[in-house]
Amino acid sequence: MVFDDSVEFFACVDRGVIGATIVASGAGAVNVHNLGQSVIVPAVLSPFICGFVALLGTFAAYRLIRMLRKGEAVKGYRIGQVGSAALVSLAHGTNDAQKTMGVISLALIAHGDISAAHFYVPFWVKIGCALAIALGTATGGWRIINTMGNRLTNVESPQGFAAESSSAAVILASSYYGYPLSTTQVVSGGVTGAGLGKRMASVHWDVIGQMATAWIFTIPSAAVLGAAAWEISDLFGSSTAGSVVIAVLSSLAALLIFRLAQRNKITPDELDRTHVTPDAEAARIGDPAPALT
Amino acid sequence: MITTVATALVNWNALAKIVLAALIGGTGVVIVFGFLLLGISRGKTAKRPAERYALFTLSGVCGVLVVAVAAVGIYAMTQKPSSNKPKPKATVAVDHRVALRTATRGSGVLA
Repeated sequence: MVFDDSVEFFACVDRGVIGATIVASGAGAVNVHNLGQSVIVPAVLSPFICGFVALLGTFAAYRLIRMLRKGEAVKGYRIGQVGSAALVSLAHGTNDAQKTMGVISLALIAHGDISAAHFYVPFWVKIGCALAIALGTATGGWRIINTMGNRLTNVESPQGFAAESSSAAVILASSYYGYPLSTTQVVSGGVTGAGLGKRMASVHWDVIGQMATAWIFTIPSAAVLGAAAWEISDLFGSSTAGSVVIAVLSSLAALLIFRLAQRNKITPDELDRTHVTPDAEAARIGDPAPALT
Repeated sequence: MITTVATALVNWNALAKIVLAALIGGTGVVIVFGFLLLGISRGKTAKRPAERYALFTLSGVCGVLVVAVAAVGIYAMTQKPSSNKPKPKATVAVDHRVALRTATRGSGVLA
C-alpha cells in the first residue's frame, strides 16, 4: 500500500476537522455544499486535469524532439526542469502549507485567541508550518520520490518538464481560487499523463491503483480519527490533559509507522538511476519505446 | 438529476479558468520551450547569418514567453482574490456551538 504523507495530511486536515465537527455538533454543522464545491470536487478533478494537460504537452514535446539533435532534448529539458521544479515547490507552498495554517488558525478562533470578524494568520503559525513542511520533506520524502520518479512510469526529462509545468499551473490556479489540493496527487496525475503522452510508454497502473486505494481509505479514516480525538478530548473536559493524551497517542502512532517503514527503507542512493542505461531501464519496467540518449 | 447535482457542486466558471491556466502554463509552456530548444539547435548549424539570427531570435522570444508565463503566475498569487478580503468563516462551516462548547464546557450553556 502506498501511503503519501501529503495526501494523508490533506485528508487529516479537512476530514479530521469534519469528523470532529460531526461528533461535537452534529452533521448539520458541516456546510456540505461548500465542502463539495470548494474541497472535494477540485481535489478529485485536479489530478485528471493535470494528467490531461501533461499528456498533451508530452505528446507535443516528443513531436518537436524528432527535429532536435541527439542528446539536445534531454539536456535542454533537464535545464528547464530546474525552473519547473522550482515552480512546483512554490506551488506546493501556496497550497499545502495553507491548509496547515488554516486548521491552526481555526483552533485559535475557537479558543478565542483570534476574532472571526478580523481573521488573520499569526506570523508564528506561518513560520511553524513552513518549517514543519520543510523538515518533513527533507527527512522523509525518499519513499515518495521513489514512487513518483521510478515506479509510476519511466520518466525522461521532457516528460518531467511537462509533468512539473502542468502541476505547477494547476496548483497555482487552484490556489488563486482558494481550492485546497493534494500536491502529490496532482503531480501523480501529471506524471501519469506524461507517461501516456509518450508514444507507447508504459504506466504502472497497479501503483496508481494502490495510490487511489490509499487515498480513498485515508479520507474516512481521517474523519474517524478526528472524531475519536474529539471524544478523547471531551472525556477530560476543559483541561489540557485531553490534548496531551492525543499528542502522546499520535506520537506513538507516528513512531510505529516510522518503524514499519524502516523495514523497507528507501535511501537516496537507490533513487539514482543515472548509472542505469536507458535500454536496461526500459527492459526493467517493460517499456517498449526507445529511450532518448 | 446528475446535471442538477453537477451544476450545484461544480463552479464551472472557476473550473474553466483553471483548465485554461493549466493549458497555457502546462501544455503551452512545454511547446514554447520545445521551440526554444529547436531554435538554438538549428541556429547552431545554420549556414546563413540571417537564418541563424532568425532562429536565435525565435529562441529568445520563446524564452521570454516562458519566463513571462511563470512571472504572471507568481504575480497572480500575490493578487489572488482570496487574500484581498478577510474571511471570517472557514471553508468548512464550524458551528459556533463548537467554540462556545469549548469555552463553556461543563456549564451546560449552548447557543
